[in-house]
Amino acid sequence: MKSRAVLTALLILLVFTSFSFKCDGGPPPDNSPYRNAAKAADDIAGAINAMIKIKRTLAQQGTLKHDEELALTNLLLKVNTADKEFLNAVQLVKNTGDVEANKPKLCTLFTALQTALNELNTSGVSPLTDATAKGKLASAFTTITSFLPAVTGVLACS
Amino acid sequence: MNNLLTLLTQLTPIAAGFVPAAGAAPEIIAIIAGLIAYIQKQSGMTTDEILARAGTTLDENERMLLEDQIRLGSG
Repeated sequence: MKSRAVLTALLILLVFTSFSFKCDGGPPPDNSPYRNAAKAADDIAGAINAMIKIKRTLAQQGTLKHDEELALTNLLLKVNTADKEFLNAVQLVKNTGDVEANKPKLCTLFTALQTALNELNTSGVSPLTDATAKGKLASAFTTITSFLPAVTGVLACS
Repeated sequence: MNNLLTLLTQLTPIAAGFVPAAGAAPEIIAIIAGLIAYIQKQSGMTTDEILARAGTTLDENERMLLEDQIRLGSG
């Protein structure tokens, strides 16, 4: 009889413990539509990192001229800064859910990112003289831009 | 040396605050790279040590590109 009472008490304790887990629950599920945009901006940062490493390797091999590498370095810095600012803004919106108030800023920052990417392509990659270097960096550039549709799919800027 | 580190501390947020498409950031970064290169020659400190002394935090991409700027002499 005594063990039955103990068992009942333990069962009640277990039920209340499971309730407490459900009530506390941890952070809410991340179902913000901006989650994909934030992931894309993060993926772009990773792709920029890959492009920097390719640039360094090509420079070590002597297939990039000094001025070509300097231009690429400056332009990659612009792209990285633009991406970082966009990522920070998207994460703020994702976490606060305040889309309408922040949408103009998000669109401005995304336009700046696209402008920086265009400049990287036209003034950094396209003028390269060595065909192999140009091909490898063009491929890295394409990887970066492949993440943009994930942003435009969420952020409809006019 | 402390004056140069103070200057570096004040310059880096300015560079980070530029609107990327405006085209001003590379010029400021070039100044920062030149300043770091000068401090390296004077003190023998590494880039990371200088940035830490200046209280500046950079992400990995920024640090790599800054190192490249220093190596290339900023043109």
